Amino acid sequence: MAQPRKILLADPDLEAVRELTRALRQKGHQVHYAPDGSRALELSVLRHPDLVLFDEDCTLLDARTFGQILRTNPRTEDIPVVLTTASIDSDKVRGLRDGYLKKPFNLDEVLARIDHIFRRAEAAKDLKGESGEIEGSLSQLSIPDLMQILGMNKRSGRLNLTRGKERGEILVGEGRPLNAKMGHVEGEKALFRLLGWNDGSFSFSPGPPTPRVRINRVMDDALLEAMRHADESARLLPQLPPKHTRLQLAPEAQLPTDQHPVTAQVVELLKQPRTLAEVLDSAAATDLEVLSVLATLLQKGVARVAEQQDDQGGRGPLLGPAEVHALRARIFRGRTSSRMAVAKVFLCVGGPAATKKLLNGLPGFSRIAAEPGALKSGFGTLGRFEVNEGLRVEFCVLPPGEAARPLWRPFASGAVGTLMLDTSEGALKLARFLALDLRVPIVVVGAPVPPELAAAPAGAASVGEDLTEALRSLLVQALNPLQPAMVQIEAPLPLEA
Amino acid sequence: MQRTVLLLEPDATLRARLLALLESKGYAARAISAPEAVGGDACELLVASVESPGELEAHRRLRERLADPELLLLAANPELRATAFAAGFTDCLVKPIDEAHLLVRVEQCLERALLRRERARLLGENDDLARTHAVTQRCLELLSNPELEWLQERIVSDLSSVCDAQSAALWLTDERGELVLKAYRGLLDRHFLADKLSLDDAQRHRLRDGAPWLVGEGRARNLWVPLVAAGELLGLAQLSDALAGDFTGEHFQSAKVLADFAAVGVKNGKKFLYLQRLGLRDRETAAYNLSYFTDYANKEIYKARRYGRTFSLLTFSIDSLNQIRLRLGAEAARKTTRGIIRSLTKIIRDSDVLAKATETEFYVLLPETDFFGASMFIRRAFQAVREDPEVKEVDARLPVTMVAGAATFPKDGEDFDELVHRCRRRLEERRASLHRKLHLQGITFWEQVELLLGQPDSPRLPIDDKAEPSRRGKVSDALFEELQTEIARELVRDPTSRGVLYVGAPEIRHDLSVSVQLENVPPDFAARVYLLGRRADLDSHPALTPVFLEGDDRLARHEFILWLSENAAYALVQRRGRGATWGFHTSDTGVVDGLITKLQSEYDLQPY
Repeated sequence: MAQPRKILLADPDLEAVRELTRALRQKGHQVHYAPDGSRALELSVLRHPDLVLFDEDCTLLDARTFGQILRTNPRTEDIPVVLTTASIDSDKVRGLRDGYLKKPFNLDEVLARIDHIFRRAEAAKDLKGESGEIEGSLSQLSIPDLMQILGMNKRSGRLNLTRGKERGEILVGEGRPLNAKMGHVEGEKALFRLLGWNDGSFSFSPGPPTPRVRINRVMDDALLEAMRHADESARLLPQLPPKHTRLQLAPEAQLPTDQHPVTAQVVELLKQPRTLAEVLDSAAATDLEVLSVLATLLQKGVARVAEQQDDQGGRGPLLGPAEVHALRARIFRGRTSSRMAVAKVFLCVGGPAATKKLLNGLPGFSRIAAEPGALKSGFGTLGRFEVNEGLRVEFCVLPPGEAARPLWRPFASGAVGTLMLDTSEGALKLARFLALDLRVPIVVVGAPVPPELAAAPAGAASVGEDLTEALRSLLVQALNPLQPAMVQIEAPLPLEA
Repeated sequence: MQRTVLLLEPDATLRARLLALLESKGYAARAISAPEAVGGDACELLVASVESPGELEAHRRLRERLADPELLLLAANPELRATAFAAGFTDCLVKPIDEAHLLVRVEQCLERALLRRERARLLGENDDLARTHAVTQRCLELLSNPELEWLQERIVSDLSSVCDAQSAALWLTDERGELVLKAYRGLLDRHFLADKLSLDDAQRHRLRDGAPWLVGEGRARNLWVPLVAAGELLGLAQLSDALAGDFTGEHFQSAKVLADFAAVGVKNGKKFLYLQRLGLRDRETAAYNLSYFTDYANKEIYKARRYGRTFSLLTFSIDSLNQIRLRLGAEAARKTTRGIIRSLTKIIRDSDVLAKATETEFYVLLPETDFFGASMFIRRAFQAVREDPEVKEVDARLPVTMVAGAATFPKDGEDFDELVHRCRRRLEERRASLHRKLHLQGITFWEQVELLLGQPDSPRLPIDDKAEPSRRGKVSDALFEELQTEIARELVRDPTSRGVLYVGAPEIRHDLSVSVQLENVPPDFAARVYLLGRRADLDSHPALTPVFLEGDDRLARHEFILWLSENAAYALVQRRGRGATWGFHTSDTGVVDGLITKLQSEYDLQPY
């Protein structure tokens, strides 16, 4: 149950708020009532409610004046005031700090809105450092020690962990670990990884337990299991190649059909060359299980180190700082923002084969999941490419079929460009829509620009098979939309190729 | 004129001699028996005998009480004179009195009294002049700006200032001669101020005199000030809560002067507005004309580009106007146009601009408004038009059909022509929308869902090529979850972008894709996401609003996703069956908006 709060309802019509009063009381809140603005002001000063719902029909004081008076008093300045109104006058509701609710309202929605306001108030308190948060260095207090303290005291909340650029969190409820997250790794796998951290910093924010439970162990059991995993992994790692080494299945390997589920996961992943780190991240099983399977597969010759190693380290950054800045400005449409900008790039493909080409051929590409659902369904996000700390490219696909036409515009709007990976009919149809209707720049990979796309308003270009170069061309083109003309950045390949 | 001298002398002989002496020199001399006998009446000099220091005290009190008259003491001895000088008296003779000397002193004292009075008069006149000058200055300022909005605020402020009133309200006459509340300030409660003041002919006649008058008793007295120019009543001001407790004659005077100028100012303002309407606005609807609108839009484009802001351009078209004119006559057509413009004028903000492009088409420019805000405006506009009595009247005889399109700078174009082009395209899409073809406006949300879903053997939907695509048929079982995931990703990509998403499912569970994806949204997440269905295991969520529909078995059979945002409009409604899922999905903004509007209205959900 939510923390009980004091809520003041100021409304001349008692009948109108009777149901809301009952619902709020059921949630454990204390409800005060004021029939007019003057009484509401008096109660606000005397009782200091956590929230005021102020109806526009209140006499003696209008909502704006009421809010102004509360804000000028240091004792009441933090009290959120939500206006309830039967009609929305945009001039009247403009500038209301905590918004308004139009009558008649849905009780569930009002309760959710009230919860949201309280959550925001809590967050504001956290920022002011009033939340009683504990923080410190992991070199002073290790994560297992910290977890034991939380466990013994039956605490609930979120333990945030930072080590350099890495971030992680462990969610605790009543002294039990409920979930852990580290990047897109979640559950026990993330918990065991995080428990191995020896340096960095932590902060614990008390709060209600998360409803999303992914770990079913008591604290001591989880800690013991994590230590076992850490010891076993440390024993296995020297037997395996370095983490950036690409591994793949040996073509001649004979695989039994009734594999262990973890073995099956790893084998599936190794059907394409992947680094050891990628395999560890992509598999759902814990790191120890994956390492054990990999050690066995390598030992039995079922997997081996891939012959071609990428020389990604030899390449410079995809875009220069000025280009990144310009692209961020384009994405945020002139607004200033400190957050990561996400550039959406669409792939025009006729089938999954061409998509796999991107998944395996673009160095630095990271999949959204081991086997992205979009690969099979042809709809959704495949993965991302981090250009730098301020810019990320996400690759999406849309199904080219006629039945999926309604998906095209809503999901493709806001895209910065399109990579055309094959010139099949489906891909061409989608590319035509993106280039001509949505005016998105287009880059055709490994083929000349089809004549239908030559007049694309934002430009159409053709590059060779190099996907990194294709992506760079596309992003540069997104910054400098060309006049309708076909641009050949590299000599096109012969049509037969 | 004879000057008055009072004489306080106990010695009868001396008193008679002095009276005779003063009268012989033309003074109006009179004897009194005690200093208390001197009143505030016209007496310029008191000649008083002092026999003891105690009497000096009585004279000191008299001087404290009255500024006039001048005081000339006749001391019994030189010691007493010294005491008098020490006590601050400047005119004192010692008995026995030398008559010539006395006359000189009397003349000096009277001269001084005269100068003092003259000075006081001049000071008073200066004060009056300064006050009048200040009022005149305010009056001239009232004539300096013909903008009525500015003027009415200024009148209220100036009147309350010159009349030392803490509160003021102003009603101005409108085109029909009714007094309409325009401005108020101070301690007034808006609820107790009449929006319109109705006056009978006698009252109007009295008001035309232009004289202010008081109403009420004690501290609750209000000063009413009519604004009259050349016998025409232009407004009425109410001043209350006088700082000093009540209004004085001086306040009356200043209020009258200021009100006279204010009336001229208001009259000029109205004339200016009229001329402006003639020049910049359409005569019939008072909407701006296209040339003014284009200029304004170009300036707005410049500002938006310069300061990285956004604005939206909207086009409204009354499609059935020509038909209304043909079948119901020109007056009905005029009424329709007037009603629509009036409705739009009611809901626009002060900063928005409404213009008439052609007989059937209107433009609205909404500064600082993104595409989502523009969509919300269109929805409010249609609602307002539907509620207008004149439009209702015509609509009852022949349906008034109106469509709208919106385009946003810089997303949809960087110049006026491009924005208009995009607007028209959206207008065309709305015109061809399935929402219009199927007449979905008049039916409930679930009726719309059933109609759109149809049955496998239902006739094909009347889909127009010009409209955004809609498709009906078997859909993948995974699509519902995939859509939630992908829409949630879209929302997280730009969390500050506004939008609404409704996910309707048989049960509200914590493992719904949208719930999982939006678990860690940033605090400035702006989209509103609703989950509708039976309560399962999700009570609250940081980014979602669960709406529990326990008794609604329609949701047990159906699932839906309705999404409207700055960049997207999409709807999926589907019915799960044995072995296959039958669905309808569309990116037709008209259908999506229509479904969302009905859903919001039927489940009392907030518009945004």
